[in-house]
Amino acid sequence: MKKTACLILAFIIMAVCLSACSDKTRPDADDPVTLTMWHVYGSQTKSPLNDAIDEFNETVGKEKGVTVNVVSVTSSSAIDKAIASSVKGEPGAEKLPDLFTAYPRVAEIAGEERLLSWNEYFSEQELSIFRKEFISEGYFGDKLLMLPVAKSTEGLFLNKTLFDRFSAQTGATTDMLGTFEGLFSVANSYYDWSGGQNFTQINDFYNYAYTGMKVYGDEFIKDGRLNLDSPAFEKVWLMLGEAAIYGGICLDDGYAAARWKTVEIISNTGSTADILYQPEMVFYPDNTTESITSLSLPYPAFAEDKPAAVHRGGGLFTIKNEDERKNYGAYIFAKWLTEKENNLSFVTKAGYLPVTDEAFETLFKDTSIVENESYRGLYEMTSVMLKDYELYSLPLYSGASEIQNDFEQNVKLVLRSARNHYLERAGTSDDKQALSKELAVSSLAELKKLCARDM
Amino acid sequence: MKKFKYMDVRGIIKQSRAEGVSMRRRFAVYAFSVICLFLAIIILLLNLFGILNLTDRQIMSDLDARLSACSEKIIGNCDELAACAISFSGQLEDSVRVFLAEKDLSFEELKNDPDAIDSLQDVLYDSVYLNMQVAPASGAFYILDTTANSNSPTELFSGVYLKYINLCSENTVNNDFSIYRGSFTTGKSKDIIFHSGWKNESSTDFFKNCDEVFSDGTHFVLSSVVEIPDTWEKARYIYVPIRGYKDEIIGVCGFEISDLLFQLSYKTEDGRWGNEICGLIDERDGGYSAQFSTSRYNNTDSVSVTQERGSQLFDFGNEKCVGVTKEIVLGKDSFSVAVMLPEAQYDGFIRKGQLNILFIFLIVALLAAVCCIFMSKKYVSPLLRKLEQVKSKENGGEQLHIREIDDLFAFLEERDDYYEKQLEELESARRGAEEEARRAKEEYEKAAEKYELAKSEIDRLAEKHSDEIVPEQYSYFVENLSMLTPAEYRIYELYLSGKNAKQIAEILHITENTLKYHNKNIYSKLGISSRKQLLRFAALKQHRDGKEDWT
Repeated sequence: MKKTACLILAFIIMAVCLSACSDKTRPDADDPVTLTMWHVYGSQTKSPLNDAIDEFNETVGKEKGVTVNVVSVTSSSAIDKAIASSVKGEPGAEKLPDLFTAYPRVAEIAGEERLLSWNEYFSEQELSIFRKEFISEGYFGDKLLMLPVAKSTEGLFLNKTLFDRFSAQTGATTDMLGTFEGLFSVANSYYDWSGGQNFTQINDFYNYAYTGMKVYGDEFIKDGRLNLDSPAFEKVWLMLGEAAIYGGICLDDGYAAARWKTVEIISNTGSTADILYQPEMVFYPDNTTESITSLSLPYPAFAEDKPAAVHRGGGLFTIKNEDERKNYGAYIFAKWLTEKENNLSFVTKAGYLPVTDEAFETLFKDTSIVENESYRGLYEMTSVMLKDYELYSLPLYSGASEIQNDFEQNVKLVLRSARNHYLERAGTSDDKQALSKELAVSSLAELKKLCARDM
Repeated sequence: MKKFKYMDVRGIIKQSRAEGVSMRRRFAVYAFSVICLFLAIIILLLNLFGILNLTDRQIMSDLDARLSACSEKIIGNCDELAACAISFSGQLEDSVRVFLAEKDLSFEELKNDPDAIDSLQDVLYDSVYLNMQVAPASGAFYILDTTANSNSPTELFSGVYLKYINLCSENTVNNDFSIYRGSFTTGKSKDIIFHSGWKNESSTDFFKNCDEVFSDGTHFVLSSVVEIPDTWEKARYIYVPIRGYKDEIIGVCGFEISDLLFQLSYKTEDGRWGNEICGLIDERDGGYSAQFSTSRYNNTDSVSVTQERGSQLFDFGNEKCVGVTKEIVLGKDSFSVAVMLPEAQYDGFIRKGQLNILFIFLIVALLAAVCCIFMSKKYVSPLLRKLEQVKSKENGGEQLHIREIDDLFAFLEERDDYYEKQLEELESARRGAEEEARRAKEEYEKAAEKYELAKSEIDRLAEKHSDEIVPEQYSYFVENLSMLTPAEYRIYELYLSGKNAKQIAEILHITENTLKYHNKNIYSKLGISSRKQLLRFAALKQHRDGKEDWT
């Protein structure tokens, strides 16, 4: 009897001691953690990731004591800037978020030592379900700093309603948009037909040049620098330059979707996720509106026999936290988001590709699981691209983010300048195409000069 | 003052240890242990029954402090926004009046005149932009009670509505912004990014009962939370009227406070009690609308607030929170500022608090039990052993170091030794007395034997001499004994006891001559002639007296 009483007492004391010294490396419902997040998966009008996060917060997050609080839905370049500001501690800069989505280039900006290594939390088996080409982008040495949650490739989006009107009068077809040569030709034709409207916007020029040079057998990035002296670059540049200077391509900053809305352009190349931003209605300057339908087309090829595009879409990063519960909370969220059903549900509402083999196969085996018709069309187009296209990943090198941004700005700057020259001289020129070609050549030298200065 | 050196202190401690601790102090420790145990049990029971819930009080106290800070900040920000809005409205009123005067138009003539409206927007745009930069808001707008297209199926109002694009900080200055509502011409001419949900004109209910709302001198209105059309955001609006020439309301202007800005301004504190959520709740038309410092509750369709256990219970349908609220008035409407914790989190802390109390109770109980066992083993057991020793009359043994008990046992031992000695002495005396008695008995037996022998001899002699005695002389002798004087009789007895003349003279302190005189009288009276005859007659008489006695 005495022995039993002693044992019970010892057990109670042990239980109480154990509960008092419980494992504080994991969050729980009684002591939850809140993770702030900046991400790019959404537009100003809707954010499928926010919807997914709401679902997480209400289910697994609630059960396991993790709340993800979306603080900002913005662009990847805005996130790069905000992360840089936070890291530098600039006045007015916000505290680094716990979670953020960005391209691999952000690792250099944030500092690899600040970032959580996902492979310390995900087991090898858990990581083995991811598509190799997606997860390999996230490794920095032996550390997996970027976890793929949604990927995309590039495509061409078209305002079918207006294109059909243009097509009916000019004979232009969507087949012509299968190559950049055809696209630029149609763009110039549209410019003439519309009385000076841009046909398309290229998002991004960096990706355009990278893909083109790959197709033409050279590397756009060599030894961590832009390889602008390559004949291959000259080739891709002249194609683009001529059309841009002629007026077929929009050279302004800002989102393509906004220009769609005001009918300044009727197509654009960009991430498959751009479908999220496609308007269903356009507005004319006379205060009238028109409903439109959109069409998703494969990324134009540089050579018909060698179609290629780049993988897009960054991944999920986590800032290492001293509170181990937050790190583990980030793992719980990331694991949930990349589970087949959750990942499929999220990506198919945003125009992205799922990141695990199983989800990938499920989607492309039967695209009818996507309810929205235009999204289904996008995945059918992507399915074709996945089958026929060579898909490249953008290289990661020191200063990639800055070089990429500078290149984008320099291309626009040089081409806008050339376009202004063109407009000045077009009135007196008999051969406008020859003039645009001449200015494209001269603008290449200007671009090289500008990029050399930046580097 | 005398300074104690280390050695002195050690000495004192050593001495104290040697002397032992007093029983009073020991019992004080016992009593203290028992009191501690008792108090621990009381605290535990009070805590378990929720009467003494220390954690709950601490949580509520901290939440009250945060509530106070949040309320101040909300009122401050709202006042600042209202002041900006009133100033904004003044600027717009002046600009509209000047514009209409310059164009020689009445306000009503703006309707269905897109060019005039565009021109007016161009004039008013700067006010919107500048006020948005100044105010702590996520957007700024003005909406006039006019439209470029009155034939629209939905009622539309013209105006400019600018919104920040990527808020990631409470500090909105220098953020990119977009045009959310406003004419295409204005957007293009100002080279502004068009919002994904951009439209030319607004459909709004700001003008609903507008005259009535502002008729009683209300300076500003803070709206309920509404979904911003064509976006995923929700917001409150703070707005004031724009008045025309005749003081009639021709529009409203104000600022947007999006859920995101609210979250950034009133961040969820990861404090002592986990995530402390701040919220601004209002009840209108029988329902609640609210903004919270976390997106977790901003998307819930409804919230109901009830009083429970001295705090407020916020029911979001699938989740509940516990917290405190404070009523504040913003504009003309009442709002509740709330600071709360998720119920699971709150319950967790309460449970943890109770566990801590239980833990403390167990520790105290354990310590008290250990203390009692220790005291029992260390002090009571030796005491009992000592008593056993005392019972078994063993001396020495261990020192108890209980001053009173040690003194008692020392005293008992001393007494014991004393009584032992007394006993030994008495025993020795008894043995001596017994020996003495034995010896006396032996002597007595010897004397009796001698006496018997002497008596036999006397009897034999008496028998022998009785034949030689003349009976008449003897009779005379016996008869005249009574004639002797006391002195003579005394001498007679002394002769009979065997004393000689010298001894008798010494005993009676008389001279021998006196003795001789007495002898002569004795002889004469008893009819005898010598001492020898006297002794013979006397012996015979004794012999015969003895026989008579025996018979």
